[in-house]
Amino acid sequence: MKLRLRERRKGASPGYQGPKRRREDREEHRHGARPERHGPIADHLYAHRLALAGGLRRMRRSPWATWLTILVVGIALALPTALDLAVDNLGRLADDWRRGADISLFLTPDSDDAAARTLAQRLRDDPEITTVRVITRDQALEELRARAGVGEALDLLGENPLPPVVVVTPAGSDPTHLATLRQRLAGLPGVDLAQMDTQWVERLQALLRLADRLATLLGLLTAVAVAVIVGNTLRLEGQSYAPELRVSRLLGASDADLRRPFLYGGILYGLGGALVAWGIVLLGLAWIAPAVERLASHYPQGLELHGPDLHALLLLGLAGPLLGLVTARVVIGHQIRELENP
Amino acid sequence: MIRAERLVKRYPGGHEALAGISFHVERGEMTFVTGHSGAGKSTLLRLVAGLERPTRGTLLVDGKNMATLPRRQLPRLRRRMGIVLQDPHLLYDRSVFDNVALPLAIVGMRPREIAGRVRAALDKLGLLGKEHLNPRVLSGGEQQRVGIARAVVGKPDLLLADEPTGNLDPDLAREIMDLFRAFNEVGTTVLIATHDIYLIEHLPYRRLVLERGALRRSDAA
Repeated sequence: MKLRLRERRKGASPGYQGPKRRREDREEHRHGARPERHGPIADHLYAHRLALAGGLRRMRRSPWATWLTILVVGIALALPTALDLAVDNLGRLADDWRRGADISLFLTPDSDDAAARTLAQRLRDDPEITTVRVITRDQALEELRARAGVGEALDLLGENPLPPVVVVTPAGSDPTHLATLRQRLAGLPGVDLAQMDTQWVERLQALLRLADRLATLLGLLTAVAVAVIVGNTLRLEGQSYAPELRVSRLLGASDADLRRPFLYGGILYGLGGALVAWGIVLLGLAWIAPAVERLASHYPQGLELHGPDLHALLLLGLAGPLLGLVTARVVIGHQIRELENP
Repeated sequence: MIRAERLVKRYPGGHEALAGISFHVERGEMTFVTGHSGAGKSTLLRLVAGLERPTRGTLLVDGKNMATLPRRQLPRLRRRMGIVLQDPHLLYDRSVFDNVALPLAIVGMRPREIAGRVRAALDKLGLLGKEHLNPRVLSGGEQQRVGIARAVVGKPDLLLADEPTGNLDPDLAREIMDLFRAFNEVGTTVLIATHDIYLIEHLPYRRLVLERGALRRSDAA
C-alpha cells in the first residue's frame, strides 16, 4: 500500500503541485529525523568515516597519552619481533655452519696410514663426497699435541695411540641426507667411528629451538601487555567521554554507534604501535649492521644479516590493529553496558 | 501511543514511585502530567522514555512493551522520541549548534542537511544568535531552551518533557508551550510533566494528576 502511494507520487505530473506539496510539508514535519536517502552502503560508510574521524579527534585531544600509549605498544611489539629475528638469523648461521661440516672417519686402531690412503682413494669416486683429506697418525698426534696442551702426557705414552683419520666433505647439506651418509661411511670396513663435526651446531640448533619457543611465549605475553596498555588508555578515554555517551544514548545512539569511534581508536593505537615497532626493529638492525660486518670478516663463509621478511612485517601490521580492535570491543563494550542513564 | 496498565515502579529500598496506574495517551494527543514534586511525574516520563524499566504492570509505547523490550531495540524507539529532562544534560565541550546537531548526527544525517535543520530549531527557540557559543556561558533558561531545541530538531513522533518551563520566565514559558502545541498540531504526541498549573490551566488538554504514585484524576480539560 505504501509502495503504491510512493509510486503514484513519483508518477504525478510535475505541473500539478498542490496536494503533493502539502503532503511533503507534513512528511517533512513528521518524519524529519529521517535523513536524506543515500542508500544503506553509503550510510554505513559514512558512519565509519565519522567514527574514524571521531577516534582520531579523541586521540588528538590528549596527545601525550596517545603518543605514550603508541610508544609503549611499539616497544612491546618490537621485543618479540627482535627476538624472533635474532633466532632466525642464528638459525641461518647454524645452517651455514652445518652445511660446511665435514665427516671425520676414525679408522680402527690397528690401521696404518696406507689403509687410510686406500680408503681415501676409494671415497674420491663417491658422488656424495666432494673432497677427501687424509690425516696420518703422525699428523693427528701433532695436532693433538698442539691443540690440547697435553704434550707431556702424550710423551709418556711412548707409542702413538691415534688411528689415521679420513676427513670427507659431503656434497649435500640436507640434515637427514647427511645422517644417512654418515651411517653408510661408519659401516665401511676399517672405519671405527664416523663423526660429524656438527655436534656443537646441533646443540646450538636445539638451543635455538628453545629460543624460538621463548619468542612465542614472549609474543603471547606481549599480546596481553598490549591489550592491557591499550585497554587502560581506552578505559580512561571512555570515562572522560561518559557524558557524551550517556546523552548520545538518550538521543537514540545504539551501543554499536557509541562503540565505533573507540574501536577505531583501538585499531589506530595498534597500527601506530606496529609502525613504531617496525621503526625500532629496522633502526636496531641498522645499528648492529656494522658490528655484524666486522664479525663476518672472521668467517670464511661470510655472515649476512637478514632483516624481517614481508611476512613478519605484515603479521606485525595485522596483529597490532587486531589486538587493539578486540581490546577496544571488550573494554568499551563493558563500559557502555555499565553506563547509567542520565 | 502510550498505554499503561497497573503500572508499578518500585525503587530498590522499597520506595514506590508509581503504585499501579493505568491510562492511555492516543497518538497525536497532547497530555499534561501534574502533581506535587515526588508524585511520580518524572518516574512516569523516565519509564516512557525507556530510561528505567517498570517493576510490574504493562507499559506500551508505540506498541512496544517497555518491560521486555530488548536493549538493542531501544535506540530505534528513542530516535522517534524527543526527550527534555529537567537537567538539559548539555555537552560543554562543544557549541550550542553542535549540541543541537547531535541527534541528527546520530541518525547519520549529512552536515549540509543538519545545518539547516539546527538553525531552524534554534530560530524557533530564539537562540539563533547563540549558536557558536559554549552552552556553559548561557543562562539556565537558555540552556533549558537548547535542550528543548535538541529534543525537537529531529521532529519526533513523541515528545516527552519533564518540567520544560521550570527555569523560564512566564512569557518565555508560554512561548515554549506554544511551540509544543505547534508540534502537537502537526501530529506529534506530546507528554509534558509540570507542576506549573497556572501555565496550563487554560489550555485545552487532558491532565493526568498524580498523587504519591497514584493517578488521582484524569481530566479532560
